[in-house]
Amino acid sequence: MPSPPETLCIFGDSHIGSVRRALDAGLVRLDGFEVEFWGAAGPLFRQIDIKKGVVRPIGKDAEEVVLRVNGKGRGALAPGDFDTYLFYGARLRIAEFMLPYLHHLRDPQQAASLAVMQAAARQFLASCRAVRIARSFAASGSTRVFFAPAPLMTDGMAGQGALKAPMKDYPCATEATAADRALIWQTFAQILGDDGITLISQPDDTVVNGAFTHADFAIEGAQASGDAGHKSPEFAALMLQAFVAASRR
Amino acid sequence: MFRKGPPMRGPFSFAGAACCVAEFALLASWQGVCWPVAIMSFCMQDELQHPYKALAPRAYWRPAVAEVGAFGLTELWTPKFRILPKDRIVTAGSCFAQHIGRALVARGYDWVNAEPAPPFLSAEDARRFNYGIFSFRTGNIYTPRMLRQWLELAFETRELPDEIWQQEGRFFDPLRPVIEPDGFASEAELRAARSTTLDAIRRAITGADVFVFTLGLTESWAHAETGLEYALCPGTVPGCAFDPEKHVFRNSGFRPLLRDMQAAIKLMRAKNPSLKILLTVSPVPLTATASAKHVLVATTYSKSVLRALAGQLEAETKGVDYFPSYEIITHPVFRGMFYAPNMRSVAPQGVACVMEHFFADQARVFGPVKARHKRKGAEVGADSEDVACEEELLGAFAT
Repeated sequence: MPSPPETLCIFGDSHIGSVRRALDAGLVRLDGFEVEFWGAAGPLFRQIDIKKGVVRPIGKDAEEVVLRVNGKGRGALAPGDFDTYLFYGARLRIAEFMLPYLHHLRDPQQAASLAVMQAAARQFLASCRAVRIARSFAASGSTRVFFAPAPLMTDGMAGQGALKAPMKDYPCATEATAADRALIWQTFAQILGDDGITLISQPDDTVVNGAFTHADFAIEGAQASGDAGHKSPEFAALMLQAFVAASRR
Repeated sequence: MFRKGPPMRGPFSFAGAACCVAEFALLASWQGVCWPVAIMSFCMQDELQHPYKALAPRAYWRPAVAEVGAFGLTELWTPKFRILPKDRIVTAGSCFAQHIGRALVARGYDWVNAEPAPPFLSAEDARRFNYGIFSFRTGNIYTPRMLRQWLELAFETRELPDEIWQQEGRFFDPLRPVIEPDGFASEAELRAARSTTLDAIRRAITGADVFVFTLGLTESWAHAETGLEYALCPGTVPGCAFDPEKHVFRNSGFRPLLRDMQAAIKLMRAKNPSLKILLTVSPVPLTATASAKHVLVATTYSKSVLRALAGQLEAETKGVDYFPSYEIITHPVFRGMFYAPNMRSVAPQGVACVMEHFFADQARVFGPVKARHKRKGAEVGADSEDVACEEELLGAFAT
């Protein structure tokens, strides 16, 4: 007799849109998972908070969007509601960290030690509300928690989108190698891992020019809209594959 | 010898005045009176003509100190040069230089942070890793020799012994062994970090208008053979066990300290001829002395030599000035009120008092400074991804 499917909540901001599209288009299958989405777009995502271990939207606008995204009437999230949570995007903009620290790794006149980078990564994570939620869920011991940060900015569109770290300040980031990126991913993986959260890092074969996502994975119409942040369903499919692989380890 | 009776009267002469002063010092001594009081009484007689007669009130103890008390003191410093908010000010040296840097920033002065903390470090972590404390990440530079060593390294004017400390798989820079609380992960990381700091020193010194240096100690430890001076005594910090064969104590006297400071100034001026230098002496006593003296006595020796050194440099070097923060904190007039209960740390009120004198005396000599308006930060608004987010999510979950 087959085992019942594992319940999976994909929790995040606007980036979960590409995940939904990837699943709808059949680009990836989450066999063995019964999937629900939960979240809201950027500004309204900020109106989602955790109190006494339960995540709720604050205010009518956020509530309305959360219900629409979920589609199953789930207005709140508690850690035990799902077997597994995948935090996706969720305002953890790894590009904002990657760009300066890849630069620091490459520029001999602006070196930063690994210990400094680890301290900065801890602070970077601590400042993200979704990470605090993920930590709370993981600490409950009643669910598995995975976290896939928002992807690196799309190549050729630097300076657009929400990148707070301008390229002109960190030119050496474009010289970053796979080893440099791996060092940063490992730093985040270790910190999150200590809290019982599994990091889903961006597959390195999607990265070009040191610190950018290949333009092939840009969201449709990105050049016209200037959207360097969001990615295509194909990209989301790769991320889901990485999640599936990690969840089976 | 000593002669009783009224003082001599006669036409003014410097020599005569000096004699009179000396004579009254003897008289006062003999009579059990403090001799400067005697000079004051003597000098204020109307009919006398002598160099003390035309002096400003600040030259006399009674009006300048005794009558006004600690908080009435004025004109403690007559600066040689003006320091404006737009001037790029570099600070380095002993602990007290940190306070000066912070006070300048608080007043809107352009304090140079040539080696800022990388992004996302919390303020606490930045401080733990010694970012933003001095203009570059050297940690405390306690002695003139250490300043000279850093400058020689930065400007590559002399090869310094290549010594790196290692303990339990971590690497420590003998020039700043506590700059990374747990040491560096590798020798390459240590060298890269030092290279970054040397670059920051070069940029800071060549681009500065004013270099503020706080002299801290005369005592130091060095390698017996190479002469490399350490920032701290080996063995007191992680990275290197103390070895009495290898590590030697120095308590530098006036002349070697003067040579080191002169060499340091020469190096900086070679790269930046118009650089103005402001010296201070740290009022923070020694934590401990290796001189075999009592720490209080050793402190007095150390600070006295450094104070004399600053005075000598100020007197004989163009563009070098001395600001008496040391006197403001340590002088008996202030009755130790600016020290924390451990009688070592300087309380914030002390720093505030020091800086009030600094700005007041600058204004007195050069006129008031226009308040510097900080540029208003850009308004934080919705970023373009926020705008795009709405469309992206709502589009995917529209059905």
